[in-house]
Amino acid sequence: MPAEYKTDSGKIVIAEEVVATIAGVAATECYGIVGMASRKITDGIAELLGRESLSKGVEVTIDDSRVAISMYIVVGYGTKISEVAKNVIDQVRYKVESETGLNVRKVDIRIQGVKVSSPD
Amino acid sequence: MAQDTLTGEMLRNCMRSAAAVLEEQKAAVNALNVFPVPDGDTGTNMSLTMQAAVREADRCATLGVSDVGRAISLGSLMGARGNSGVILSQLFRGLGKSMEGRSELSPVDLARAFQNGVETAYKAVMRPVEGTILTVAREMSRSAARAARDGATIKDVLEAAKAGAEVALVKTPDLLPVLKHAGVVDAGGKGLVVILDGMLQAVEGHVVEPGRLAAAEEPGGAFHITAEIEEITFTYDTQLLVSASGLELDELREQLQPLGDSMLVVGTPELAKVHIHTNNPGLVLETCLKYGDLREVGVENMRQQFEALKAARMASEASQQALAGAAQGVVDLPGLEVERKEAAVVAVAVGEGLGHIFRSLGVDVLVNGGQTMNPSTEELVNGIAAAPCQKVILLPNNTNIIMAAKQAIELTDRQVEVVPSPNIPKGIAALLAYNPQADLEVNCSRMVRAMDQTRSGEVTFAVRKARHGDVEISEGDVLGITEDEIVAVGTDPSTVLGILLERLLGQNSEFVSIFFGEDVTAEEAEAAAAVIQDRHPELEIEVHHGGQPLFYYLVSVE
Repeated sequence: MPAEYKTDSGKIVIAEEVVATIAGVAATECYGIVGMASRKITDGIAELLGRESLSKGVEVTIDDSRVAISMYIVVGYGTKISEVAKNVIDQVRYKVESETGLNVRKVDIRIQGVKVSSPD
Repeated sequence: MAQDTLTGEMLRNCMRSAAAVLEEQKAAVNALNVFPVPDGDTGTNMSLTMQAAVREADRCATLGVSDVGRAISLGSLMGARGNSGVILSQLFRGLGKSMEGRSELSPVDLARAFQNGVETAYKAVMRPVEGTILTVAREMSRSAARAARDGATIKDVLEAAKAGAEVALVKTPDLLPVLKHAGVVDAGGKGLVVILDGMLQAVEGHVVEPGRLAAAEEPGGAFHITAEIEEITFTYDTQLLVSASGLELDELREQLQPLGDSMLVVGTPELAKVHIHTNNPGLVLETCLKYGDLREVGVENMRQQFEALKAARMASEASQQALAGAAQGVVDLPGLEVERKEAAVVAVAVGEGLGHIFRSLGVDVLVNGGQTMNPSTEELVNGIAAAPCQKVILLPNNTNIIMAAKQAIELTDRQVEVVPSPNIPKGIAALLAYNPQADLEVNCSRMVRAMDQTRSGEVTFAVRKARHGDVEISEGDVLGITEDEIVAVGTDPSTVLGILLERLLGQNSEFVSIFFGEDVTAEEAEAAAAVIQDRHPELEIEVHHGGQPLFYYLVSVE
């Protein structure tokens, strides 16, 4: 259900897709994230998504203007995953709340893969 | 030349020194933090990450550069805190990797290690944001590489690294608009410059020890207790918000600069926060008035604050017992922290054990009170006034005190938010979400959220005969109460606790905290907990001494 604001001169409706895109952009700018994973592939190798489909690895439900977000992400090998995930939660919550004015109830992070980069 | 190579010992000294300098300046770094989330913890996070790296390095038995490098890499990885901490750990990971198998490093090796650190750091991000610590690190390594090519010494390479980082740091506002709007450079980048500065000092032969500068410069306005009053050249700590449209922050900054020191002008063209130490607050206000409307003006006499702090410190040293304070309803906590908090916590509680628990969770001021002994509004106001900073979170911890708490807000000039905790367990749940470095609003919303996720109950006794539904309650009966109803009546507190808990437990319950009161012994409480544990082996149960009167048990379920 999209979020609705009522103002004196009309109402504002924010679709879930909008929140998903904002959350996707915020996450991909977050340090430690090397990609978003498609949520359709729950087993096997997580599919790395390109930039065009930023909202693909993001599930958004809006209930009474309160937002719940689930994100499916791929992290870089050798980072502290728990801390990276915490940073993503903070960053996504902040971005979505400040850009949409909606209240973010929770952000769940699912680490779908770890990317090992070329040997260094 | 003596410094043509970097040994493991030197590297370790560099790290110690860098960690010490960063710890001193973390408040300055915190104050710059507006990106990615303006929560003012970048300096703290980087400092904690550095300290973890140093701890690991200190454990090194052998002192080849390779071993120390690996220790730093591991320590910073495990201890990484926050975004900037994670980035720092990746820099060190790359750095450590290129030291593998070496006993010492030449200047060229060092520059290469920097470069490898930056390359590693860039690999762990999908879309690097320019104008952050990453940019500063990249320019640092480029500058170091140039110096190394020109046949520099270790010291020259570090100097070049720092110089390159400083140049890049100054440019960060041009790369990241959010920094420009706020009128700051990147906090993480600044942290990196501070680290390089500490390393350089070590190579120059002055290893900085932790706590070297007692009165570290803190633009946040806090001053150290050991500072003498004579050192306060500007008496009034002046803070306000200026709201306008199209505010020229740079211009305002220039106008205010001559009026005092420790100046900070940050914000957006719509709203700026001004902080300055001055001898002429009137002039500061007048100047700001030319730029827009003023809000939340606060002027503090720092000499007086200082005297109060000193008095409090002396009082707590003179007497470990806070009885004198308790008589006024306010207990100043020993070892008063002068460390800058964004928001302090004032909580209402009674019982020695609960006092300890609340203190250990970060409560700055305890106001004595609770069931049947509600503190007056005035006592709450005094408690707020005793808090060490302007922004205060108030935890009433009792439904009957919430109203008084809200009234207290009106009577104080401080910025106070009430987190309406209806009882002690909920107050504790809220405190677990409290972060001293986060700002007031963030803390309140986190604390309320934590509180909502916790269920709580109390075991007490009936003070008179009553009827509840079909149940007759006689005076002295033991009652188990959830947040809104009586769910258990009996004669034995432990049995009632068991019944109450059954009602509180939900499908996802994992964690139970039990606080036993002054009428219950530790053995009784442990035995009651053991019975519950037997019935629910999946639960994690903690038993604490609360020492509260009237309530046999207070319990929370998460």
